[in-house]
Amino acid sequence: MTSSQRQRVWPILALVWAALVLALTWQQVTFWRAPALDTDVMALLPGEAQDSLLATASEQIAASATRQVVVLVGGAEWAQVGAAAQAFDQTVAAEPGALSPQALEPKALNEALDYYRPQQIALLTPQQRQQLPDSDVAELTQSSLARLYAPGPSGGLVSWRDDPLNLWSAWWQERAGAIGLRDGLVALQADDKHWAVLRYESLQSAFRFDGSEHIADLLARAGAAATVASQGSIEIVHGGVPLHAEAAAARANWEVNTIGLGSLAAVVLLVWCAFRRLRPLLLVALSLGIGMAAGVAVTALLYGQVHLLTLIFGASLVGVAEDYGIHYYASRQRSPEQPPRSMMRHLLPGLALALVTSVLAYLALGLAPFPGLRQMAVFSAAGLTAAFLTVVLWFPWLDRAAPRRSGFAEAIAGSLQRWPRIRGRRGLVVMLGLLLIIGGGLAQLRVDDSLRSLRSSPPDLLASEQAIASVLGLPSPAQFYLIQATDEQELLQREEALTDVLQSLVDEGELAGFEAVSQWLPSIARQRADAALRLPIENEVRAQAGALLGEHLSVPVSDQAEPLQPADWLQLQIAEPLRALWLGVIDGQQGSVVMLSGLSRDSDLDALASIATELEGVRWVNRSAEIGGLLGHYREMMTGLALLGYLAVAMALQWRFGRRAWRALLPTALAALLSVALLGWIGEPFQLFSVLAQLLLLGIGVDYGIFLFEHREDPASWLAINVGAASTLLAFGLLSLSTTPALRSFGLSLLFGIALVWMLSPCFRPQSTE
Amino acid sequence: MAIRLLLTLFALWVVPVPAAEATDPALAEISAQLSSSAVLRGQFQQSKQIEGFRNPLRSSGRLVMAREHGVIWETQSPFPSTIVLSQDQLLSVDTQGNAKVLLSGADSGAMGAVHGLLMALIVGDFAQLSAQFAIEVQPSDQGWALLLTPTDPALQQAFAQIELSGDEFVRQVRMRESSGDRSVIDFGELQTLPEQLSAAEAQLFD
Repeated sequence: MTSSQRQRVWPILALVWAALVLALTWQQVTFWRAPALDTDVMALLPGEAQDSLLATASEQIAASATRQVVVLVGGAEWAQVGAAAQAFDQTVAAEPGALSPQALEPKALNEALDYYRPQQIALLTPQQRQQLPDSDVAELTQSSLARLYAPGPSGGLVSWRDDPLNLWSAWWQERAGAIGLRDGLVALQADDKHWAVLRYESLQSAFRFDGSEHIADLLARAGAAATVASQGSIEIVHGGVPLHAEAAAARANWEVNTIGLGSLAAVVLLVWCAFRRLRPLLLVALSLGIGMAAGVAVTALLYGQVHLLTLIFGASLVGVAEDYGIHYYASRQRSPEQPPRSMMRHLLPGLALALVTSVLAYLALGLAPFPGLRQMAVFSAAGLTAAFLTVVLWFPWLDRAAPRRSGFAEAIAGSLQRWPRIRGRRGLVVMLGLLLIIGGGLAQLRVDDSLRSLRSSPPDLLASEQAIASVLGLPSPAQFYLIQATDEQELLQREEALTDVLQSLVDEGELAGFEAVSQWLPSIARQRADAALRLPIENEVRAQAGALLGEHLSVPVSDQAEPLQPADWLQLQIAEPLRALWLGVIDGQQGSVVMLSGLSRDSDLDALASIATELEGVRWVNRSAEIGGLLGHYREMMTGLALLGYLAVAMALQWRFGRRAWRALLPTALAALLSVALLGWIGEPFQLFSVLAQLLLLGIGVDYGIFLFEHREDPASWLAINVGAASTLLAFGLLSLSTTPALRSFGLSLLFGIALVWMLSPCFRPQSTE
Repeated sequence: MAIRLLLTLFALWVVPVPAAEATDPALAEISAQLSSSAVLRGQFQQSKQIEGFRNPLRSSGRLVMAREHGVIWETQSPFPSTIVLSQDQLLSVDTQGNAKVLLSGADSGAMGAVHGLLMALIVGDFAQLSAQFAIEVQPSDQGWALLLTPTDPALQQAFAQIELSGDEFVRQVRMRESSGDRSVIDFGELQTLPEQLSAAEAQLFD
């Protein structure tokens, strides 16, 4: 390629990039109008692609909860609670388009009664099933007669003759539990309090990423109205996935702004101080803006949506992507006489190498099969590349004047000469001190692989949900049983084998309760067995009562009505909350889920797990433990990878610098150990994200050592290192403010690591004469 | 969970509302006549016509209504049996005095409601009844007569109509159930004294 051809290639490439940036801008405008943002922490974790039954179960359980909002209004007097709940409901209803009330329709109840009535003979509670065979028929007759003569209706849900022992009412009562209807409100009593339960469905499919919390605000206003209406002290708690999602979005908005704008401001300030011209400042900001936009765009195109944690993580990219622009201007400042394009040609190999190493370091994060990490890796790689291209293609074109020399830049550049070296006896003492700090910190280091590290729900929302769970006995979404069988009836029978064991745990008080389709829809075998248990006893009661009353009370032996079947039951409106438990046919097998409520940290999960091992077709699933195990596994794997990385870098340095290679690597290694030790000292847990931070630290930190080696005692290089390190430090420092523990850990590790490597690298720099 | 509300269909649900004043002046007049003593004792005669039974089921006995506690319904004929409806449970007490809990409403609040309806019917607590029923004053030769039609959907499942009549006391309750069953309860020898429960009576409420 001749030099004139080269002259023409530059503007063409710059224009091509301009067209791409234009397309990017348009994409960003459309994206942010209705941002496809993902808030579900589970979406960051590996799915169960290899286990379609478990995948369906997790998906259905999650889907059934995504729009539900539950509100509990409680107080000492029902009158207050009822008035408050009604005022609450009215306030919510007055604002259409936010939350739609999930009222209970009498039609649904009648439909259920009509469905079960022909087969009520086939329904028994576990207690009845246990007690009926041993009961004394004469005694049963006596209490049945007492009911017949009692004031008020003698029948229950069916006539006395069809159910003389009123067994079916008790069956319903068992299903109703503590919950009833009062003043048209769902009501129950718990903890010496009256509670009204209000259920809503969120109507907002997407939430705005503007930091506002619409649902929470509406609930707060409704709560205020309720408090006024109650004229007393009432307690209001609410929970539900939409509230978490909204809170996460609002917080993420704040964090992205803090981290992104904070590091942008820092970069702008540093660039201004170092170069004293407006244009470098605007151009560096431009390269960062394009980088961030490209990160969002490529992630959205590849994954369909962008996760909030990716966005927060991505905001810290500002601190890394500014390197290219700063390097360019640092060189321009040093040699203002050189034309921009030839300067860029001169810088290109170094900048490209820096880009490749950084992108590789980020992509290494994506080695673990966590969709979330891969998204972050893609976001960072795309963002860095776009910032790099902007610098390379546009800066020489838009750059009009070399930056001025500044006192600030001179002072920093000159500081290298005075930087202390670690050597001799004093060096030995310093090294010993550092080793003590490292040893002490590592000894206190606590490993935490729990899923909690990825969640950052507000504590008051979690406390609120805890209160709801203790009043309503909500099932745990993370621990459940998976049942598998060849057909529906076998499936129901296997569920029953399991629930019989669970019922004994409930009776012993080990478990608050469980939810299973077979509670509502027994297997045909159980329906037949229960009917066969009931019928002779009821016949006897009818005969004895008839003899005493001089009546003929036997019921005509009807042809056995059609047994209750899952297909019909699932159509019922009342089955709606339980439909998620019925998985249907997967890989030729019928599947279902049995959920548990009232699990706590003290629950004996091992005992629950061992129940499954003794039953055929029953599997215990503990998602929390599995995810924790997975996070732990990858923490270990990535630690191994980081060590391999050190080995590889050491070999590369050995090849380039020979015997003195340790001077370039040791600062990073020391900084890595010290930053991990500091986590121990301040009590932050060590986890997968801390290891990932170490990978990135290796990528960034070794560069400082290399630069100091390559450009011995070169003030311009030292200036670039300082400006770069300061902005990187600030970006990750701001990331450590995140409320998401994983991101905080990542930010803290890098904050410590970068600061240490920045301070330590010059201490090990070689003598200029060496 | 929604299904749990079916409980209401057999629990004779009544809401203890804050006493709404009877707005109908005729009703207010009747209300003013009624005794408001703390304890009411008397005899009852009940006749129930139940689907599948050729003959009505007749029974009689005595009852004690204590506003603060509940109702003792002591059937003497044809079989001696006692039912005690108290704030939190429904007890059946056999001839030996052994109590058996038929329904415990400790965790549902349901029993308070059952007890509430029965008490409201016996003492003629119109403020409470009007929350669940549309009350219509009927012409009557002596005393007063009321027709109660349930407005509450849960109660509509159980009752079609209830007729009440009386003077200073409620003398008769006629219930027409949705199932077609009917019953008539006549009260007699009603007394408001002594105003204290006897030790034996009080024991049943414990």
